[in-house]
Amino acid sequence: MATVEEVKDYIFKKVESYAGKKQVKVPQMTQDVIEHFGEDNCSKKDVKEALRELIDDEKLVYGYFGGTTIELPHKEGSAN
Amino acid sequence: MAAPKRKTDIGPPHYDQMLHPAIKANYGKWKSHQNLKPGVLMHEGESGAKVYTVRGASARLISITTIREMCDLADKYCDGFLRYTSRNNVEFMTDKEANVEPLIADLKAMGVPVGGTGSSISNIVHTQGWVHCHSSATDASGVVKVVMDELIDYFTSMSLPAHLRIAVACCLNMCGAVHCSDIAILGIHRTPPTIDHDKLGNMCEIPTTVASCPKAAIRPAMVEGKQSVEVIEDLCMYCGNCYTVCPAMPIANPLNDGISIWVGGKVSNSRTKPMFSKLAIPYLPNTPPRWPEVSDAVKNIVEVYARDAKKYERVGEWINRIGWPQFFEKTNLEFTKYHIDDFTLASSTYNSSTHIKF
Amino acid sequence: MSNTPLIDELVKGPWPSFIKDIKRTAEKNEMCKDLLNLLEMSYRDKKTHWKHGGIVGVRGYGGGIIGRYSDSPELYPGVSHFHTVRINQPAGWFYSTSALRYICDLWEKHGSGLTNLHGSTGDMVMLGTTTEHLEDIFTDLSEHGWDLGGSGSDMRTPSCCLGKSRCEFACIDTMAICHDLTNEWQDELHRPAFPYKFKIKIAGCPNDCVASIARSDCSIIGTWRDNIRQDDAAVAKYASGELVYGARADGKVDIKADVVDKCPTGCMSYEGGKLSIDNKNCNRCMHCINLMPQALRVGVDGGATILLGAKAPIVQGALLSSVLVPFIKMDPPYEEFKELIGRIWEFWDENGEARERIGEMIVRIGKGNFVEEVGCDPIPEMICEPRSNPYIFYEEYFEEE
Ligand code: SF4
Ligand code: SF4
Ligand code: SF4
Ligand code: SF4
Repeated sequence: MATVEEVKDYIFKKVESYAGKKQVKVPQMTQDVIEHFGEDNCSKKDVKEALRELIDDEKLVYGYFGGTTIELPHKEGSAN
Repeated sequence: MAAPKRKTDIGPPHYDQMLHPAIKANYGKWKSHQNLKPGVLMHEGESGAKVYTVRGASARLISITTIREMCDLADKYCDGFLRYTSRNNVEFMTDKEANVEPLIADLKAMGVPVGGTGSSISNIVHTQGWVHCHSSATDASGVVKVVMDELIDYFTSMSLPAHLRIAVACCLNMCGAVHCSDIAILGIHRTPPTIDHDKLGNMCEIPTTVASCPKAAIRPAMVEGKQSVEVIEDLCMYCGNCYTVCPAMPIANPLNDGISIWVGGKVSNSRTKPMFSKLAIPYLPNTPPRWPEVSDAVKNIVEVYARDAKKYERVGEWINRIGWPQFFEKTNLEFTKYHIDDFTLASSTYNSSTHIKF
Repeated sequence: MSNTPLIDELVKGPWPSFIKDIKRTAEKNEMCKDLLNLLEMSYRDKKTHWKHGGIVGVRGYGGGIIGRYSDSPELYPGVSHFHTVRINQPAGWFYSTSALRYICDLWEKHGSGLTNLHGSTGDMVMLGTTTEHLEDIFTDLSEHGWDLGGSGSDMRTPSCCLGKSRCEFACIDTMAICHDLTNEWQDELHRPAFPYKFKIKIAGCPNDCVASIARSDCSIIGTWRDNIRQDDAAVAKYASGELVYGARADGKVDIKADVVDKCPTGCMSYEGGKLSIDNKNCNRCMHCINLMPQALRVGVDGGATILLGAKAPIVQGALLSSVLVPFIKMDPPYEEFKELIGRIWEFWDENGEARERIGEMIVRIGKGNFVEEVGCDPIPEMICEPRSNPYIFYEEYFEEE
């Protein structure tokens, strides 16, 4: 079983690696995480919980890009 | 450091706290209603209880100054309760018949027209426009204001064959889905975004900008030695999504943006099925502050309908009976090649019959 | 002389003027002043002066706040940031004046003082504030029992007609359903995790006063299974003109011409002063009931038709919702309905493409496949007519041994 911390870590690194290149949405991230850890080790609910913690702690924030995305926190301003 | 836990996910207040006692007492026990006069309804409960509703117009974009005045009236006449309708009207309810006329008088003094019930033109539902949206091809509140200034007698009376619903949207995104209205007024962009190649590379992430286009019309490109993008104009549907993510690609084009008019839609299932609105006028110029072309065009359609439709016929039902050739003839509107659909399933709109009136 | 001559033209005329209203409020609020100036500039230039761009929100939520910036911050600093806060409305848009005054006070303190009552989704839309205020607004709201609405790829704030609170046509308790679903799915509302937005609208009867069939991914529309209730004495009163439709000069109902002949299914007759309805053939269109509400009433065995998939045109063209379940009982705790929606979301989550509304997904994969996947049986009520093309993808065929 993947721990919440492992899932959080994986998600964070993924988002970090996409920064400025690719907009990532929750359903894709969820599928990605489950594929990575394997269905038996990680459920949708686990991903949800990990994401919620990351966002509550402001490690990641929601963005909007023709649908909601998850991003690294950024400074406020209009498109940079 | 994790921030302290807060109260979240509590949802809206329960509606129970928001109901007039007479509404609460008769909840689920209504028997029938009568439309006493324009803007005044009387609902009767199984128990014989009566509740009177007075409906007033609102601009939807209203300030706390106006809301507080509405509250004052609700305190004075309705025991401190009021509501808003799905078409942004304000409604005052009371079980005291004697309150109805003084309330109407106060509303009129406040500049609030009373009406919008039965076979009238109710309030126009609309979007944000220049007051608050980055995609808008035109203003929404301003267009609503001038059209309703023109049609107000239809709001305060019930003289039409059936009720008539108008909606305004300021771009193709159509917040509020105006596409099933008797008359829809739709702001349109007609040209692809302009690209500020000097700024784009600095302001916008190119992969993000490319990915923003639902039609895949944007490609990375080098322009005069600068990293930028190009738009394949034939693919562009002027949706403005690219501008949402990249301020160096404004979609607004003052010379070409305008307004189109659509007719014959409905959402109710009454008699006929719900219908989309269809194109009546492909382009009218954008002429703030009072858009005379638009208010004239809408008024013309309303007046021809009012004269020609049979009792209880909605605009779409009327047109289906007389046929589109007669619609264009009677309204004196020009039929153009733009009226002929060329999107998916267009062929289902071709006339494959010899049903033609001469 | 006024420095906003163009928009001043909109102070004229009998319809309530939003410009007049903003002007009154501008006497006490700087944001309003600059909003008027910015708007004047749009009226002059014939173009918007807003940008989208940056994302703002309150901590932990992905929905409820829409970031908005002007393109002329130097000229009009008062509206350089002008974000929207969506507050989840009470079901049916009913208010006590004390609740509404609280909201006004909050917006006087933290915003421009301007609102939309209401936005198209149904929320109270509070126009114009800046990022510094957001957390305070949220804390204040939640302490007073309010919460934010949805935005982005989440379940949007559900909304409903006033239903049983004041309408005798209501076949379901729309406000109770709306309140319950909103609370059941708080996580889905505040933390966007869907491929795209998902709207739910609940109408009490087929008149659909909230336009759910045109504006919601999931339309819940009240209907009835038993017979139209009929009061023959009241029918006679309509016939004699003692009762009329609406308060119209021509409101006297001609029962044959206005009711029977306009019944779309031809299931009514009126002979010798007796109105008869063949309820088996009535398609619940509401026409006769709308016309003679004192004489005819919806049946007592109420429930809902569930339809899916409405949306505005972008990208693949506009869609209306279409039938998934012809009739479902909608009594608390609405388990059968919630399970159905759960299956639909599950399937959409896994199969929906980015920025694809559920209606578009159904068209892409085929409604037949979709209904099977979410555990419903294909039935003729789902369509207008069977296919006329022969391109059937048979899933089973025989092979020679
Ligand atoms: S219809 Fe278009 S321009 Fe108008 S508010 Fe909606 S997205 Fe903005
Ligand atoms: S306006 Fe829409 S279709 Fe045209 S390039 Fe921009 S995103 Fe693409
Ligand atoms: S949708 Fe039906 S039940 Fe709801 S308010 Fe309209 S007529 Fe009444
Ligand atoms: S509801 Fe419609 S279909 Fe049914 S009897 Fe009345 S008019 Fe006819």
